[in-house]
Amino acid sequence: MPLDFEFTKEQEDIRSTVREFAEKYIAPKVVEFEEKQEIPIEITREMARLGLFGILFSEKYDGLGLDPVTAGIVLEEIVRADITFSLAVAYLVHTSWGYVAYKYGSDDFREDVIRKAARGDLWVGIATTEPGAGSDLVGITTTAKKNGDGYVISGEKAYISGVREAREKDAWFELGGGHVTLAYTDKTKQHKGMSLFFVPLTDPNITIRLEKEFGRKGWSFGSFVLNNVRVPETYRIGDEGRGFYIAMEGFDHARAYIALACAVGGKRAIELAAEYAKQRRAFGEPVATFQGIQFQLADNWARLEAAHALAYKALWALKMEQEGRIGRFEVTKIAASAKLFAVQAAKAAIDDALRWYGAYGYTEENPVALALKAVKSYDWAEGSLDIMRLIVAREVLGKEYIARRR
Amino acid sequence: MSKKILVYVETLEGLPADHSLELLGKAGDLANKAGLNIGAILVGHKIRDVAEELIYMGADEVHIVDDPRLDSYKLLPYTSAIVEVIKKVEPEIVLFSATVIGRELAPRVAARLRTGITADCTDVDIGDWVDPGTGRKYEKILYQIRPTFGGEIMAAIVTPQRRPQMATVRPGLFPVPPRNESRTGKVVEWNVNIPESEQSLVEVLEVKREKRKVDLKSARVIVSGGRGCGARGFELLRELAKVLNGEVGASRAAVDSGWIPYDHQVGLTGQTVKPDVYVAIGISGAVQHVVGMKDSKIVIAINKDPEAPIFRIADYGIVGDLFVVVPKLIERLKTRT
Amino acid sequence: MSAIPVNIVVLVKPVVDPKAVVRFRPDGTIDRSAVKLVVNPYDKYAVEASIQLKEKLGGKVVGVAMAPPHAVDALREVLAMGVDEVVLLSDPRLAGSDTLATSYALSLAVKKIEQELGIVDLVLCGIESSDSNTGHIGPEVGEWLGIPSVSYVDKILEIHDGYAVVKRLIEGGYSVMKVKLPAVLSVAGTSYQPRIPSLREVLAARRKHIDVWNADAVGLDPSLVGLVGSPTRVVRMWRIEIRRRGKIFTDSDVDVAIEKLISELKKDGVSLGV
Repeated sequence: MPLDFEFTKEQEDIRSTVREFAEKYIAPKVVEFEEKQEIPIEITREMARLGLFGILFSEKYDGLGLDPVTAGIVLEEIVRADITFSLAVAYLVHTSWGYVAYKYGSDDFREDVIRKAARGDLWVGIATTEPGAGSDLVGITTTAKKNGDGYVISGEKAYISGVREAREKDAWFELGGGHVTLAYTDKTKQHKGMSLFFVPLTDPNITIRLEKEFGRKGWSFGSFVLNNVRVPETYRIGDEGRGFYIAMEGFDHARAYIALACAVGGKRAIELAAEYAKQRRAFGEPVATFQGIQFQLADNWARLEAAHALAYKALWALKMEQEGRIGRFEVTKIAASAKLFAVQAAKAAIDDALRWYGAYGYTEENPVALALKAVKSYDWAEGSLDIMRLIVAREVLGKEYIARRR
Repeated sequence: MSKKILVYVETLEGLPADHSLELLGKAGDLANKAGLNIGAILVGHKIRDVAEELIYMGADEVHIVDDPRLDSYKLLPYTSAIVEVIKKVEPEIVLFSATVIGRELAPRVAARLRTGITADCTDVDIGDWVDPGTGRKYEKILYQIRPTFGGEIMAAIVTPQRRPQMATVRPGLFPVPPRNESRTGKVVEWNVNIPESEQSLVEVLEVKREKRKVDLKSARVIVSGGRGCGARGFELLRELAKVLNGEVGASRAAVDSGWIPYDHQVGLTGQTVKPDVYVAIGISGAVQHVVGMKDSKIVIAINKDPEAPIFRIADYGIVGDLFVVVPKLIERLKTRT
Repeated sequence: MSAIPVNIVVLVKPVVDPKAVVRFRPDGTIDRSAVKLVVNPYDKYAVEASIQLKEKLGGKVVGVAMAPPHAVDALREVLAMGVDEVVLLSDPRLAGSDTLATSYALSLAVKKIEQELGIVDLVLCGIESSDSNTGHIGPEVGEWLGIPSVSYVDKILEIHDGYAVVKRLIEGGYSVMKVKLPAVLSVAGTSYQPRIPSLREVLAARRKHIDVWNADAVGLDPSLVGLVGSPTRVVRMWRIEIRRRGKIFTDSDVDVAIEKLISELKKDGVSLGV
């Protein structure tokens, strides 16, 4: 296959613009994200004005009609400026799950919700996990019962990003936001009985509870209880019974972006630590001259280059899927591989990079320390690493080899 | 050509500006090297006294245009006046200080004369040059030396053929020459034709200026504060300056915010300083400020932003909150170990 | 301000990205290849000022740059910000032009734009470029056009029929001036914050056409431009030797950082006069 690692001029223009924004708005405030445990509202508002929240939506709905590779470029620039990953999460979750909601949503839903999401007036999150079910989604208990021209949803979702930012209107987003939520419409059919709904977190019948996250503190993390929350039928994303499958597609999107964020974050961590190592002296030399450090640097860098390329391949695969030129399961295999590889590469790189700081690495102010805490979330977020392994094995071996329940 | 170097002298409240005197002194060195006479150009109203003063400061001749219409600076009439003097006197070299006025007046004069001009020189010298293209040798011409690319690269520029050779020179680089009341010279008054149309094109409605009291130029140590300081920060800075036997400086942002008077301002529209030690506190390091302190012998920066440009031109620095660092630094310096 | 539309020409210079490291070729000349060209950051204040005026008063804003052909991409930034049109003046005969020659060429481009628009009220530019830092283009273009120029304009306060009121910076303060139009104003970075264009505007700018004019199109006299038309010659360029020591201490324990600072100063023999 002929490969071209160059981006188009339009993509480079977009990169420059986002970089200018990142340098002016994000970089000066990054230290505060973790300290204040929130992102300054000016940042999400300016991102909305620039059009960063509408990259993948059709121009018909005020989006830019661009592709996942271009969305990846925007994410790269955000991660470069924010190595704590808080803003990266805000962007990649909305971009991937917003896209899936748009793809399978009804025209009314697109008009009512997607248009606002494209303008950045509203944030889109994802809620599949529950206290009793994560990797094994069949075990969820949230239900959605048809009632008139809508559904009534009850249950609890846990370990969900962005509950606070979606809850509050006139804050990070003018209209707050909502989560693409997985619920049973027919429990007897197991994963063929699930459906996806867009649930506005501003609904009064929802109570949220915030967790004290281990890392990535700039973007909220918590749970929400749905107490007979009513949503119109138009907010159902895709047909009844298709929820699980659409969610799997959404996970592929998220995983590709996560892989890219990890690759870029890992590289940034190495760059920052390398700058420090050039200045820091021990035993009469800058620490950067020690081959022990250089070997670690090289091994990690090579892995991150591979992760970077694989992440873009996954985004390219998503783009091919948009154009109908690649199969669903091929995309799944590449996306899972990308997340599996990139998260591990980033964790190892960031861990090594942090060590070059010496004891200074053990402080909360050190950006690389914050990156380490952030990237740890990807052991689980949007599909655990072990699930990635099962997916890739399944795609290579065939479904018949999936281990059965006892 | 008439074998003269002329310096355009700016005046401030009836006295020649220091930077013009510095330039006159430097021009004197050049004149010696090139075997030229040294003179000044003065434009304004009731400026004869200033002309006399310039002779004591080293000018062999002073060319004045004294006219009520030229009482205060206006770009176009002043350009016309200076151009006429130059056409009549035909100097080899004309130098201006690179002040706000100089940086717009000199290029207009040069453009009207269709001659070459170099801006913002940090040094000027006399030397020979051989054109590599033609092999022709030019003797004792003006070398105009200046920084480019924001200061990273130095360039040497010459004006081999057109006359006069012109340059604007950065203030604060050269010493003020000694004053000698026994010096003699001539004052030549010129009547020039200033087109009526030029006089009415621009009208000054309001001028707000503060007179300089503090002279940072002679300070060996300057402790300077910027946007990050606030009024409280400047209290700390004053204390640190006291401990170091230095003066307090400021960026334009700090002066505009009212935390410290203008006479402490360092930078493009403030003073150019060359102390032995410059401590930049809460100053980001924008070019407009750096231009005024770049040649400090030692630069120490304190800023909480590790990416602040000031760190790129600092010899030493501490990344941290100035409200924590400065008090501790003061304590530490007081213990004198 | 009176509600009359103003036609503005804004002069912009494509420069090597100021954040990029300057490299020399073995022969001592500057290696300008493979480095991205961007719009001179100082000019962006002028662009912002012109767009704000257009938003308030209406009229047209045309950007002009004199540069080699590949600079065309850098100009899209200015289109994305909201300038109506951009023209690139490009001709091999312009290479090597100093400020006198450059300002001559630009003044002819302004005259041609004036012919096309009928009237030009203002010519705006930045106070200097990030690579040459001369600040001469504004005043010299004013001279070639025979119109007033004001440098270091902090803010354009009012525009009326035939004149403008501007606040300009001087050492120690400012002055407020009434200037007959047309005039050249060099705009400082003190009041205007260049907007970051939205992605939509960036993409639209990519699709816009940029006119390229050569020397004949503006009626240039070739003897007045290029090396032959430039009275000044750069005879040597060298990197400054002053290397700052760059010993920056990032310890989160301030006492530790201060100790390091003191000991490094001592080691380097720097006396703080204490």
